[in-house]
Formats: sequence, C-alpha cells, structure tokens
Amino acid sequence: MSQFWKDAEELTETFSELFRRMFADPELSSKVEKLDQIVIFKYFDPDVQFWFDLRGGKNEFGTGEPPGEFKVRMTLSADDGHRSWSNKLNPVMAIARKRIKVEGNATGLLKLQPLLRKAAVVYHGVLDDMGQSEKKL
Amino acid sequence: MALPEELIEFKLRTKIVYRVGSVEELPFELGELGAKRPVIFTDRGVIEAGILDYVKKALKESDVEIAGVFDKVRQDALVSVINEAARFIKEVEGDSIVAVGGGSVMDTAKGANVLVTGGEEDIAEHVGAELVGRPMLPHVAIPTTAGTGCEVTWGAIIKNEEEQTKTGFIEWYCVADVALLDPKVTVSLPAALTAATGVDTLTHAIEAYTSPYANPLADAMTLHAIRLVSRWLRRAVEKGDDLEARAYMQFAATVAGVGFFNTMCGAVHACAHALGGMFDVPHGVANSIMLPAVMEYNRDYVDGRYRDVAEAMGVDVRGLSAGEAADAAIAAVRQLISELGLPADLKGYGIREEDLPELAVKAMEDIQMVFNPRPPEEEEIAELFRRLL
Repeated sequence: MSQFWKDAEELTETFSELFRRMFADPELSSKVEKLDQIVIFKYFDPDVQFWFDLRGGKNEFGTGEPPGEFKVRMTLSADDGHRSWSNKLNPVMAIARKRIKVEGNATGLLKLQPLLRKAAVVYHGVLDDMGQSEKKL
Repeated sequence: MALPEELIEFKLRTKIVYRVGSVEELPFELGELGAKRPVIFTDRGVIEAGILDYVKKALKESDVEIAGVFDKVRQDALVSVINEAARFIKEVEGDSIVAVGGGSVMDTAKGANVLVTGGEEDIAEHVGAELVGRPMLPHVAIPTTAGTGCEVTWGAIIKNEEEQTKTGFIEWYCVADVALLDPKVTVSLPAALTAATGVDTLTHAIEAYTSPYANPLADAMTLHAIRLVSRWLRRAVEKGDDLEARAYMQFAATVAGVGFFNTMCGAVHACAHALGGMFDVPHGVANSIMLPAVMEYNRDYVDGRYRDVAEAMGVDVRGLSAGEAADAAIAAVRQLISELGLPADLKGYGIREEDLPELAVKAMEDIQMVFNPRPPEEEEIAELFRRLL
C-alpha cells in the first residue's frame, strides 16, 4: 500500500511532469544525455515503468516497453521513487540495503547522484504546481 | 568530529576462523553447513605448492566426500571458466564449494555459485546487484594469498575475455559462509606475488578509508589494515616462511576486505580493472602503480584523512599541516612500493598513447569510480594514465 500515491495515473502524471522539466533544464539535460543509453526505472506499488532513451542526445522518455534494449534497469517502490526524487534516499545505500534492484551497469547513473539535489528542487516545484505540496519531504 | 547523520550500514556475513593449521577445521565447518559433497575450486599453482594435498588430507578422516576438483582457474575470474565451473558443479552433483586460492579462484567460485543457484548459464549476463537474492550453496574459502579480501566480500570482479573488460556483481549470499585463515597456506606464495597482493590490501584500506561512504565502523577495519600492512608486508616479502608476518598479512587482507566492501574503493581500483581488462596487468601490480598517482589526484578531497594514513604508516605527523601530512602519506606509500620492488609505471605493458581514450572510458565505466572522493573527468583519468606511460 503506497504511502504517497493514490494510483498509477497520479504517479505517471507527476513523474512525467518532473521528467519534462528536467529535460528542459540545460544543466540537467546536458549531464543526463551523456549516459547515451536506454535507462529504465521500474516502479512498483503502483506499477509504472518509465524508460529514458538518452541515445544520441534524444532525451526522450515514456512509459511501458522501451524503444530498444536497456543498459540498466532499476526496480524500486514508487514510494522510494518519491523519496529518491526528493533527494531523501541515497541510491547507493538503497542498493546496498536491497531497496533498489539493479540490472546492468549502473555506474553512469550513480555518477549523476549529485544532480539529485537540483532535481529535488524541480520536483518540489512540480508537486506545488500539481496540488501535491503535502507530499514534500 | 561531527555527529554522523547519514544512515550507516555495516555488514559481514562470513564466519572467520584463524589458527596456524586452521585448514584442519574444514570438516567441522562443512559439517556445520550441512555440506557432504563439496567441489574444490583451485588453480595449478596451488596444486603445485602442495596446498590441495594439505586440504585433502584434512578431509581424509571425515564423512565429507570430495565431489570433484575444479582446477582450471587462471589469472582473473574469466567468464568462460566460471560458466564451465558451474556446469562442473552440476555434473558432479556437488552440494557445496571449497575455494582454495587467491582472488581469481574465490571470485570464480562465487560466480559459479551464482549461476548454479540462479539457474543461469552465462555469468557475462549477470551484471548488477542482488539479482539472485537467496541463499546459495554452502561455501568455505581458504585464501592462499593475503590481498583481495575475497573471502569476506559479497561480490566478484569477472573478466570478459571477448570484450576485454572487467565487470562485477554484488550478491549478498555469494560470499563464503566461512573463511579459514591459515598462514601455512600462504608461505609458498612467491615474493613478487606477496608484494603485489599486499599492496592490493593497502589499496583497499586507503581507498575505503577515504571513501565518501567511510564510517567509524569501517574506519576501524581499514585504518588497522594500513597499520598491519605497513608493519608486516616487508617482512612477509623478505622472509616468506615467517608465519607471524604471514598471519598478520592475512588479518590485514581480511579486515580491509570487510572494510572496503562496506564503503567501496575508488579510482585506483577503477583504473586497475581497466588495465587488467585491456592489458592483463595483474591486479595488485596495477594497484601499486596507480595508488600514489591517484592519492596525489585526490590529495585535497579527502577531508584531511591522509594525515591518519600517514600516521598509521608510522610517519610522525606532529606539527605537519594537512597538506604536508598528505604529502607524507603519499611519500610513505611510494617508499613502501619501491622497497617491495614493484613497478612505478606502466612501461612494459604495451600501452600506447592511442589506447588511452578507451582505457579512460573503461575506467570511468567501472562502478568503483562512483566512490572516488574527487569526482573525476574522463580526460583527467586519461592524463593520470599518460603520466605513467
């Protein structure tokens, strides 16, 4: 039972807006696109899978099946996804504590951890604008 | 010291058993694990040194029946060898594993255990963390080197021969249930290997002590490992049959292993994995070449912790500024490596200027790079390599 999400639709809308704003941010998008690969965040409870196609500077994202073979997939609860984008969950420690399951080489992704601080600011703005300010951690 | 506010997690699954002659405890430990038909993992060097016979002798009067001996491990835990080893366990119907050897043997055993338990066939496709996530075959490690700490680490570095890369996996249950530390099995290790593996231990300890994830629990392990290496490695190299020096180097390797797997390493290991993957530079040698260079690179990003490293290495740091103490630590490491007769550069490994971009990319892709105290840029890593050519 999710602590933060009503249903998959709410999560999809909220995270989609976050990702749209992150890709619109020159600093965040330029660093993310260096990954040059397909990355997946598979959330459960509620279940939503986001893919990010960062190949060749595409910087596209969507839900469901990715448009190619992924290089890394992280599986975590939707609540931990909320904590992570709020910069309240250290991904490295979460992997060590088995809260995040990793398939593939996560080196590139984990190197972006310092960006979570700025991502959290963007995320808080999204929560405010979408009437979900009570979720802010 | 400030109050630690971040979550600290410190893990150790392995029971550690030490004494001179602790291999004799193997039947008891296997019995405790419910193991009756172990497969012994080893390599030709261990067999030629008579260590396998020593292990077999310990099992002779017991109820344990050796299901088979897998002795095809070579330098590094190779994908093809791990896959073959997993098939071997199934063929001989082994119910447990005894790994007798250095890091390559122990990591091969972990990889095979992952495949057997997880029902997979190709370890090259097993890249990630906690993909199996359940108990594996009972597993005893008998390290014959004092360096990698693989007897207590819940992950492995594997070499993909086709792609010339080293990758790894983390699986909490792949670690040995029991580590038997017996200095008698390390006395036949040649001086050069003793030196290189000993510097691997020192590297684990220094990188872990200066990791962004260092914590007081891991510090206790890693700082003491630095002390032990500084005090005993020279003697273990000079006088290989000195059981006292061998024993304390085993303790150093094991506690450094516990420490670094709770904090991870850094750029030295990332670079060493790239050098091993592309140019077969032995891991301990690669570490000894990279360690002083990376320490200089990280010098101003370790929150003054090189002062403690210097002190643990016997340097009188009283009156030194943080910078001077850091320089003293780096000098002490260089001095030790020089006295051990290990190479100080990458000459002789066929590395050319045009190889550096790929070498740097592979080092940057290594998971250990995430844990370096100074976030590196690819060109900076290439420059580190360039200066050592």
